[in-house]
Amino acid sequence: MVILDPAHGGADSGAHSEAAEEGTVEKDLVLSIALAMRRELERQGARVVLTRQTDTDVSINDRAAVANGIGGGFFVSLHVGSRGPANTAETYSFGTPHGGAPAAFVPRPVGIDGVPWEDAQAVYVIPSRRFAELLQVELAQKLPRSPDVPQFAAVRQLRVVGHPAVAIELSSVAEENPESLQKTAGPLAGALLRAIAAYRQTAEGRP
Amino acid sequence: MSRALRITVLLLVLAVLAGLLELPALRLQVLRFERQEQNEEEARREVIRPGPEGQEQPREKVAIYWLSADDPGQLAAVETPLAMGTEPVERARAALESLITGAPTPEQRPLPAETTLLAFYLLPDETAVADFSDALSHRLPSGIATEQLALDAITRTLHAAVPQVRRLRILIDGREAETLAGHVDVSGAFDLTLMPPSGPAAAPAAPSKEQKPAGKAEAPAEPKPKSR
Repeated sequence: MVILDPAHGGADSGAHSEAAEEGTVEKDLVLSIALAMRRELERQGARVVLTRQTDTDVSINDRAAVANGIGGGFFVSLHVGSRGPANTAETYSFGTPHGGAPAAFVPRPVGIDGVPWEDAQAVYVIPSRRFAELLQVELAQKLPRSPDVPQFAAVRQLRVVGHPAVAIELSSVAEENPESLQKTAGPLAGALLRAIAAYRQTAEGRP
Repeated sequence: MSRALRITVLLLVLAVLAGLLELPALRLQVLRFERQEQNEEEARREVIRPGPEGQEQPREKVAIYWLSADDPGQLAAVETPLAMGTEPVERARAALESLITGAPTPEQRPLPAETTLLAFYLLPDETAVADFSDALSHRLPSGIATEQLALDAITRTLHAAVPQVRRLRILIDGREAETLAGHVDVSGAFDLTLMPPSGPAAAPAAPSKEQKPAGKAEAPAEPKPKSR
């Protein structure tokens, strides 16, 4: 099961190009890419759940609720950044920033009722990193100039997800021709399926 | 005209005269208030600016982490001569102010130039609290990469200037924020003790659980089985 999360939506536009009035906004781009990815993934036999299918502002916890209610899967949050080389993709998993400031993130205390919602990702940090590594290798092949290794970042959405979870950030809303970004949906879906297959293989190969 | 009416008119004339005399003073006061409002932001900057660079404040070279001139996707430390003082709070303010306003070029700013460090204090347990104006949130280009770079720039610059600070909490306009600009989590404290003194990070580490108060829930239950 693939849980696709088109970030932002509704009043929350996310990143936007300089000409904000008629320019590109992240929420629209990620939704159209996610819908195209779903078609491609389903065509190849994968099961897909979207955290939003329309231009609505779904909260971080509601998105996590959709994901965490599913008994096994891979969570992929889709983003388009403000900057960066055109038509490249960078994968992030939740954790200590790597290569940048290695400040470890200390989760906020959770309620005494003991529901560890805020830290759902904590036990998935290593699986998520492995998934991110496999995915970034595939992305670097399909979208040239993308880096070979993923990054760590304290992405708020990933923190509350109880699955191997990554965020993909495409570059960027500054792109003059947003159609070129929409065309990445096919390569993204292909990379995702190959990474999931590789992940399963290595997971099954382990004791 | 009756006597009462004459007295009333006289009183009214006196009141108008008194009002006319008072008017210039009132106008001055209104103008003063307007100017005060305009200057509030600048005044905040003035108040929190490190002390005058007098003879008793020698300059020292401090690493400030701006965006690299060669690769804007990376941070690069620039040894910057600053009047730092000796107090940790004073040093932190000087370094963070320089991070915001002192970048060699506008393209190398990891934080928006409009950002103001509203307050900086140090708690007895060596947790620092840095309160930034909401320009940090609203003027920062939204995105995982840009937000993580801004956060890294703050933590690395602070760690270089004041190594004794163990944890950092970031507030936006005096309040705890969920994310910096929509993506990166700033709701908790950042542990600065795990930062190496310099160079790139070594092995990746899982989010630390050490700072949880006793009696709170620990790690979540075991991972669910991964199957379709």
